[in-house]
This record gives sequence, structure tokens and C-alpha cells, in this order.
Amino acid sequence: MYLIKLFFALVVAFLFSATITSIFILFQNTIWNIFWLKTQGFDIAFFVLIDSLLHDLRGGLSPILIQWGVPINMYAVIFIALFFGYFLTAIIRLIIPINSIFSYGFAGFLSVYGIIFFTKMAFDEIVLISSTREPLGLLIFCLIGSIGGIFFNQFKENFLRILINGKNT
Amino acid sequence: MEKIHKFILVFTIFFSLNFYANAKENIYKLETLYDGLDMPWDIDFLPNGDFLISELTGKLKIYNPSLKILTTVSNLPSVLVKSQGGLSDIELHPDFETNNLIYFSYSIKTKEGNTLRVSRAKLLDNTLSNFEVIFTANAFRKTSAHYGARLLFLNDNTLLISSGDGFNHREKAQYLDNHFGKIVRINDDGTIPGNNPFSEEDKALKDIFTYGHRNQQGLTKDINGIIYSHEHGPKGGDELNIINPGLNYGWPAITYGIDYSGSIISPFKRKEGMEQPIKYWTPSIAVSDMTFYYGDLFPEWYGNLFISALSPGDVRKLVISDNKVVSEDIMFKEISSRIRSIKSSNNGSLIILTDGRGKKNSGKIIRVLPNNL
Repeated sequence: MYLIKLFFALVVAFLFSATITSIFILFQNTIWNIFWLKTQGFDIAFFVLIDSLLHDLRGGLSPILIQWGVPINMYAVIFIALFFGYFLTAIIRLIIPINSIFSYGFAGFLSVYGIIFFTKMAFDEIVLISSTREPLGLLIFCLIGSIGGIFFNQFKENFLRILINGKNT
Repeated sequence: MEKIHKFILVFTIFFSLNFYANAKENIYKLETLYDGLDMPWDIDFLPNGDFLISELTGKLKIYNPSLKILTTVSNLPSVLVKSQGGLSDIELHPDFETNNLIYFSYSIKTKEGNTLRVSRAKLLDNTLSNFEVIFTANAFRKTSAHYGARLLFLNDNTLLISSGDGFNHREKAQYLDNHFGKIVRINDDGTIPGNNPFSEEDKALKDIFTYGHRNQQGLTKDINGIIYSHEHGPKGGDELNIINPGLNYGWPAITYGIDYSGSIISPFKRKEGMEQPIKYWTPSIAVSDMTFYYGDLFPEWYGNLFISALSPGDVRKLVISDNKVVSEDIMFKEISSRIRSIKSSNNGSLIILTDGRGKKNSGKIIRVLPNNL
């Protein structure tokens, strides 16, 4: 029974944290682009910003590449990267008991960096997420991954606590 | 009896219309002259009727259409052949018959990164000599993408060069201290004309003619000398522009396309001080080259602009009047392949290159001739 609850807590925590990470990543990209336009003398009204953010949330669903005939969108890329990052971290933590907040935070950082690293390799140095073409943008992008990893850890522990104790203590 | 008459009348009208439609479609025929080029990129025509063809893989070839013989030109400089980089455009000097000069654009690798270079050399007996570098773009990058690389001689013998935004450097297209996303104008010897639009600006590169471009792979002029350029948009937003000196064409501050990741590049499609395209395509058709037709084999096409497209692989015939596109027809869909280049030849036929990407040595030279020839 404990294993089922653990599995359920992990799945829910992953879905919650990966969704939040994806939204933050997409928003960071939008705000980065909008900020550059501001430096070019564009007047960015509040509704333009909101409209752009909503557009990019929807835009994340459009396929960015087709692999083995399967269209893969931005959310899928982020989810897959984070899944492998957290999975690997969980295995490492079974062998080396590193602090969980630190280890999942670091895993999130490396996972999203991996997205950029592997797309650059696959597309001849082309960076598909425009905000990460600048060092500062890349750092913020990776820090979002890191925050996502910390969220995952916190969600996982809280959900497990709720499931086992029946309340959030 | 009346019913039979009606039936015959309807039958006759139907087949007449059908015949008319077919006759209209079939004013041309396509003739494959050669099959086996390795990623051809551009074609130009020598005074003796031979075709000069560049292959992205770094080879320059001469095709004799009468003998159907392909010869490789020797003594070419080394070229960076990677992704979209390689030997690209070729252009004969307007006085080629007296000076034998050809100009060619290609990508190179340097310590600072990859970039676009333009050189000239004399073409004599299938060999290049007197090789001179006349332009190296200040657009160094790690990617091998978006070089632009199209060349066009203007009526005053100055040379326009399109230099793309390098993909990862799109914002630099808005700044005049580099060659990312620019059209450059130089003299035929590589020097910079004194009447370029930014020659008086302190921080600007003096050879810049226009800015705010993405990946311009089409550059041509009409019979009146009006310059046209087209450029690949991102996801949507391929553009056809009329080029005038000193103007800003907006990329990436205004665009009709979105990023490959699905996100917005800019929520704005127009801004004062930035030029609007005379035509844009969303979704993208991947515009690759273009030519105005002034030959006499197809009088009905006289003055039309033919734009080749890589995706899905066809040609767009545009009728332009008063700097506006008044109609667009999709042509040569039956080729069903990526069309890399289209040019109007000296004898009035259109010549099309397919690049055959994905299968080595499968690029074709296709000639468009009237059906009754």
C-alpha cells in the first residue's frame, strides 16, 4: 500500500512541478522577447503582455520537431527532460544520500540545461528557445529548472505526508 | 428530342470549358535536362549558352545543354560545407564578355566563427584564376545557418549582397554595426561606394544598404531597376519586399511569423519607420530564389515574377502592378520536389533547379518550354 501511495505522490508531484516549470520557462521566454522590444521603442500595453503570455502557453503545444513520426511539443520536451533528471537523481540518492532539496534543485537545473545542450547538438548550434541565446537568459532558464526541482521535492514530500497521515502536517 | 438537344448542349459546354482549362494549364512543358547534381544552389547563363551551376557541396559546374555534358570548374577556394553553408550564389559581371569575371558567395570558417564571403575570379577554359576576396561579412557565428548569400548587380555595376541573421543573432539585424540581417552594397572591386545610405553615420558599417532582414535568399530587379528581395520567415511570415536604400525591414521587431518553439517573436506586425512586405506567406513556403520573366517564349508571362519555393516545392507566379501583388498562381507543382532556384535564361525559357536534399546526386536541371515547341 505504501508503494502505491509513494508512486501516486511521485506522479502527482511530477505533473504539478513539471507543469509549473514549463509555464515559467515559456513566460520567461515571452518576457525576454517583450523586454527587447521595449528597448527598441515599442510601447507594450498590459493587454499586449497578457495576450503574448497566453499565446505562448498555447504555442507550447505546437510541435517543434517530429521524432519517429511523433510530433513533440515544448511541454513534452520539458517533461521528458525533467523526468529523466529526477529519475536519475532518485537512483543516485538511493546510493548516496544527498540532501533532497539540493539534489532535485540541481537535477532541475541540469535537466533544462540539457534541453539546450541537446537541441544545439541536434540542430547545428541553433538554439530554439531564443531567450537562452544570451548567458543571462540561459542562467535564468536553468534557475527556473532548479526551482522546478525544488517544487518537485516539496510537492512529493507533502503529497506523501497527506496520503500517509490523511492530512497535511 | 428537346431533352437530347439540351443534353448535347450541356455536354458540349462542359467539354469546351474542360478543354479551355486544360489548354490554359498546358501552355508549357517541363523537360529534365540533367539529373544528378549534388545540392545545386544557383544557376547563371554564360554568353555561349552554357549554364554555370553552383553546388552547395563546394563545386562549380558548367553544363552544355546541346551536348548534355557537365564539366567541373577547377581552382575554387575551399568552402565551409555544413548545414546551410557552402558554395551559394554565382553572378556574372555585367561586362563578363570582356573581363570574364564571375562573383560567388560561400561560407567560410575562421577563428572568430563561420561567416559569409564573396569573391571574384576570372573564368577561362573551365578554370578560375585571378582570385580576389571582395567581401567578408562581419557576421561571425557558431551556427551554419541563415547566410542569405544572394548576389545582384545593379544597373550602376555595384553589387548587392544579402547577409542573413545567423539564426541565433536575430536581434543584431536591427543594429548597424554588423552584417547580420543586412543587404550590403559594394563596388565590383569590393570598395564601398560613397553614396551608400549610412556612409555618414559614425557607428554604422558604410557598406550597409538596408537592414532588418532575416534570411534573404532572393534578390532580383525588374526591367525598371526596382529591386526585390524575399526572405524566409520563421514559422510563417516569408516576405517579399521592395528594396530601397537606408530602410529598415523590421525583423525581428515586426514579423508575420512566430518562433519554431511556438512562442511569439514580436506581437507587432507593423511600426512606423519599418517597411511592410508587399506580400507575405503564412504558413511559410520557404522562398528560395526568384526571377522576372522578360523572354518571348511565353508572352502571357511577360513581366511576371516567378518565386521558387522549397516547401512543399512549387513556383509562385506573381503579377505585380504599381508595386502591389495583384495575383498569385501556383505553378509546376508536378515537379513535387524542393525547388532551389529559378532563372530566366537567355533564350526565353525558364530554368529550374531542384536540390534533391536527402538523396545524394539527385538535383535536377529542368527547362520550361512552350508546349508547342
